[in-house]
Amino acid sequence: MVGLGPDLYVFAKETMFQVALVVFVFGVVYRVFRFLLFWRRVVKAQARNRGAGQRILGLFKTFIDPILEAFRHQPLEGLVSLLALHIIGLIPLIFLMDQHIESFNEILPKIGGLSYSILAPLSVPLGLTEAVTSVQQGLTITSAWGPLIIVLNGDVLATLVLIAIGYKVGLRLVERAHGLQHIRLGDFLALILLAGIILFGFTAAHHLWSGSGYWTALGLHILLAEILLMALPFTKFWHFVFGYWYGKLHEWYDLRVTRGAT
Amino acid sequence: MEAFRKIIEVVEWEAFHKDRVESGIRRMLGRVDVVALHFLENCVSCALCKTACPYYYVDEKYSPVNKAEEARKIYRKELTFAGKLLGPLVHARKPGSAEDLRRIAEFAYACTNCGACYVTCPFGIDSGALINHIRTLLTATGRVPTILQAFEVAEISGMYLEIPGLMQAWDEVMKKAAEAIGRELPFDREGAEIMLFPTLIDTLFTPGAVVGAINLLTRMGVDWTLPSKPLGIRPPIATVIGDAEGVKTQLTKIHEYLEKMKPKKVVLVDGGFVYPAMRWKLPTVLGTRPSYTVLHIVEVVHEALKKGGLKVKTTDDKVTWHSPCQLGRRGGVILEPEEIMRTVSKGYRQLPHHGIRTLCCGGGAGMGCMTRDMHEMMGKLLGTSLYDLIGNREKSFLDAAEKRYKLSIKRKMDDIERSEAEIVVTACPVCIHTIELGAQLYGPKVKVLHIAEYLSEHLEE
Repeated sequence: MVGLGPDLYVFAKETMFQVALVVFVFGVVYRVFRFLLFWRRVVKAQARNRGAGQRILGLFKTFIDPILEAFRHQPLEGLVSLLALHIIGLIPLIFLMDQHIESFNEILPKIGGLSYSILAPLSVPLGLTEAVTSVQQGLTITSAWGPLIIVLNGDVLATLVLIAIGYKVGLRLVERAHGLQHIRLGDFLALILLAGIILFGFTAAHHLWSGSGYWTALGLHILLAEILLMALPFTKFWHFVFGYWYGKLHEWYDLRVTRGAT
Repeated sequence: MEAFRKIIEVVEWEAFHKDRVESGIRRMLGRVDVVALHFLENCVSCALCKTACPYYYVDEKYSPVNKAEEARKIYRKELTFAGKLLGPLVHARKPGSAEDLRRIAEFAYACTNCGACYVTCPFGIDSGALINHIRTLLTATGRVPTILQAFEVAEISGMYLEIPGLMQAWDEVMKKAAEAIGRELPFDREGAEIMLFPTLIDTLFTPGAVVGAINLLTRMGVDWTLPSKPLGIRPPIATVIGDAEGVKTQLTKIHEYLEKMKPKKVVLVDGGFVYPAMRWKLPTVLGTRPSYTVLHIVEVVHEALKKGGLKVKTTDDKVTWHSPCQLGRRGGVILEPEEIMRTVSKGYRQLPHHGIRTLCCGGGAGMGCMTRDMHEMMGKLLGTSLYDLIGNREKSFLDAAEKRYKLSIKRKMDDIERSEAEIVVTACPVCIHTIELGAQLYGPKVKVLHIAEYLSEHLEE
């Protein structure tokens, strides 16, 4: 029986991590295999050749255009969903925060002699106070972000993400009330899971729960992150691993390379 | 009249037949390949696609993501474990009533398959393709607009060749073209370099474009020919109602004729869905690459202008180019017409939304056929009162579809107004018809011309 406090932390960090990893790997293999099952060999029309320059430009535009369009036609959505939630929210928070770089460096194997710590120069500090103090006192700032760490730190990024999640939940409730059928229960669960991970991470980082409460918060943070890892291949989170990259590369190949749309 | 009654006996807008729905679902899911699987599975419901769609501005429920959800619900129910186990909890559901089919038809016929959602989606999801899958299901259940079903059957059976109203339009345009070039038209010549491929719709909607294209080819001095009879009404019209078998049948017929004639190039006048169907889909559908290259007249003119094979008079016309979605965004022909227009007119200006981001006019994928006027016009040509063949349920569907269609044009007209152009040049008969209608409904009072007609009027003597 796993109790709270250090027990929970150890369970999350050791046992559950192994389980999550196995489920994740199984899920990825399943999704990729399923994807390949639908692959059919077909005869394709001869591609229009507009030259390498247009193809490279097309690749850039394929990825950047939807972002620009979002800001042009739905500025609030662009600001909240793309900027606050993704670009300066979850992406640096998950992959560049000091503590996460350390953890991933420990967990992930070296590839070709390179470890995850290669990203250390881009690391962002955990707390806002720490960041402000560093900048005010002119202390050596190890991060390549320099004084930008006043914004790029765990506290500010977590707050941005939580605001974005709150906005998204509210928006989806309104859209659902309007009868829009594409809003699903899974959308809310995904957002709640993200909010949970961040809230427990924040609680642990600031020792808001004293004594063994710290280990409980940290354990829950890790546990929810592992649930996210397990859910990744089976839910909308798959977009981050596969859907986004496949989708845009396919679109580029289809429209820009084959058909020559410029 | 009796012939058309037989044609439309498959149309069913009242009842719910479970066996037809199941058959439709099998046909629809039979179209799912690896790319469609991505479209079905990887949407995160961000709805960034919504502002790209002309029908979103009619009602928010017509956003691409909301319409495509109909396909996803069926897919989840039939092809995912979660859908089979949890059903409605994960939005997995098959249509179970006539009301479900009514709602699906409303969504399916609020889409022009313009591809604007495809290039706006952060995940490259082509909702238009999924909505076409829904049309596959609907057509199998009989929920298909009579006018489109009639055209499909008439085209595939070849019946259109026996309808006097239609063939008269073809013959008159050919006569005018012969007069314009001052000699007999070179019909059905084997081994010519170019086979001009006008459709029946070209001769009905844009006769000036067909005459213009013939004039352009003649002035280029190339070796060309054209079919003595139209190769279809607007082939493959079956694509509009999601009938994959019908598409294959019609493309096979056309391909056999073209292979027999052995042209090097096949040149289209229609810049609507005929272009991507002939150029990009034909090899996949038939499983073979043709011996000929498919081009649009605008590509041939572009090459001729570059090589000096054609000379145009420059003008100061305040003219703009509306890129038809199927020729530009889905067809890849974006640079050529813009370069031609810049060469011809010093007053040329781009639309605020142009190129791959062009705004759809709202009339594609059969949407422009949903009006009472179009039914009456086509009825006259077909020699039957098309509207009288339609039941009340379908009539109410059409009334709503017509309202949506007319509202959807407004956004395009605003774009044209901002350009301050007086002439809109384009290449798709439906775009021409729709923008003309938009000019009447909302202004600005622009003149709308097919590029072949416009260029033909600006050739050097």
